[in-house]
Amino acid sequence: MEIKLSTVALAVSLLIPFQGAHAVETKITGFGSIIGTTLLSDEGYWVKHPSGAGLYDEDVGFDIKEESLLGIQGAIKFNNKLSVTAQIISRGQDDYNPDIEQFFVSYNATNNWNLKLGKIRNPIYLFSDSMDVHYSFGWLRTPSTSYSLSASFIEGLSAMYQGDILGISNRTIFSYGRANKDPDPFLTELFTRRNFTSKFGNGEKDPSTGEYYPLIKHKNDIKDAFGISTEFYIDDWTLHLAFMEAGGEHDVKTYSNGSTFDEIYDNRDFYDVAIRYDDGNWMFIAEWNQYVEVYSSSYLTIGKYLDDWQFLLTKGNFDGEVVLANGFKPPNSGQEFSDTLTASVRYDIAPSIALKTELVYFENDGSLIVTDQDGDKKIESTILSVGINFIF
Amino acid sequence: MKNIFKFFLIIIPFVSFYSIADVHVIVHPSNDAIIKKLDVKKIFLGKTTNFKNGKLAIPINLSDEIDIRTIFNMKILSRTNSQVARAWSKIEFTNTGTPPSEKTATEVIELIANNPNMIGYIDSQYITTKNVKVVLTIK
Repeated sequence: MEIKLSTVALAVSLLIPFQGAHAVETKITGFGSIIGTTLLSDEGYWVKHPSGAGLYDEDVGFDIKEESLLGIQGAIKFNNKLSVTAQIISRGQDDYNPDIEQFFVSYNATNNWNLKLGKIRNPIYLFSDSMDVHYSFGWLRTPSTSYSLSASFIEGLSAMYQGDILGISNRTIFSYGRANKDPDPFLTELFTRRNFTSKFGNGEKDPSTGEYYPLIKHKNDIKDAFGISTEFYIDDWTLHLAFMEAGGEHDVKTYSNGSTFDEIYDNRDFYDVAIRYDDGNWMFIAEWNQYVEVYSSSYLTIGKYLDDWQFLLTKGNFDGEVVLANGFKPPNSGQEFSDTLTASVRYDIAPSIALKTELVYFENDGSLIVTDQDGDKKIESTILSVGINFIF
Repeated sequence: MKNIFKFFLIIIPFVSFYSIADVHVIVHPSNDAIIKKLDVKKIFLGKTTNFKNGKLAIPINLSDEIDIRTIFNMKILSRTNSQVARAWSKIEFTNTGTPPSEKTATEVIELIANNPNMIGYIDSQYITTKNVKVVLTIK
């Protein structure tokens, strides 16, 4: 642990070599969460977030590591237009090994246009670019039914417009690039159950020999990804619309016997629509998204603020089955049709730290990873989580 | 019962003092933008980066007058201090904006007097200078 923390400290210190140089400003900020979860009933629950974190079954007991994380962001501002920002996140799921999740140079071209080049968050969901900053929302975690796509960043460039369109405040982000990353654990499961990752399975059947060999390396390369995300702000209302299309997706798998296997996937489009109302007293969010030919999901949240308390109730739905446009269902594809009901409570201890608890009831016909144990052909699980979220 | 009555007699004047504290939203005298309560709310919640006239808007928060800041957040932004911090945390860590810097009332006045893009708020007791323009007063 000491080594890992020192790695973070080293990475952060690398961002401050310009301290003292004239006209250069540096700023270090951060966020973190300590989240503990236990399974209260039935088989289990998988949060299914892009990181793959949050697999809770009866063997886990009370887990305080899976979803805990620490993020540190350093920014060097050279002048009013030019800056460099890096964000490093250490996740409990990865034994707190630090990972650079954002690293880009930013240029304010005008009052309305900002350009970024580097590793950038991909704002496809209403909260996708802030889903690790748990402090910034009322839930303990973003609704897992709708936040499972792993294309949460791209390595490329973005252009952000901020201004008024027909008198309505607007923020629109255009992005283009690629994402060369570890495969999405959830989508891997949904597409073909043969694609067990080393995290959740024991191996992989080598397609050339038919024998089982452990998969030792698996990279997913999404190329020519183009996205547009726009938000309109009308008083306390926010309307979010997003679209993303990838020009090609390439999986490269390496097995313990040294053989490699390439897979090229057809392109599929992703859409997201969300509407949010928050007047500081009541709040409401509805979000729907579709990964064409793969899944669609939605959730509805109603929340009430009472001084430093916030109470939220969320109903989520996931409808996932790979069915191509011509009606073809790939063999061995997984299915997941699930409903979740979530009750969340947030208490703001101070302006930068919050205590949360969340109760999730999860009902599933055809679960991936978590399987029916008691023979009732259903997964009906309840989990309880508590967490401390903070920023600094 | 008498004690409870005495308690309220002691407390009410203080409650009244805070409830009638005026908050003045100020900008540079040359700023000709029409600025209403909703515009201030948008700027201080990071939903816009410009004034209505298209010019850059840079909000500044009070660092030392926590009561005035609380009143400003409650009466203009309709948010608690924690709710405002939450909104800006999303913006800051998604790198879509920069949270307002925090300055003392004297510094707020000095900065705004020298920068046509800045907007801030102060308590009535600091309205002693002609170098800033009051665009909104919340009682």
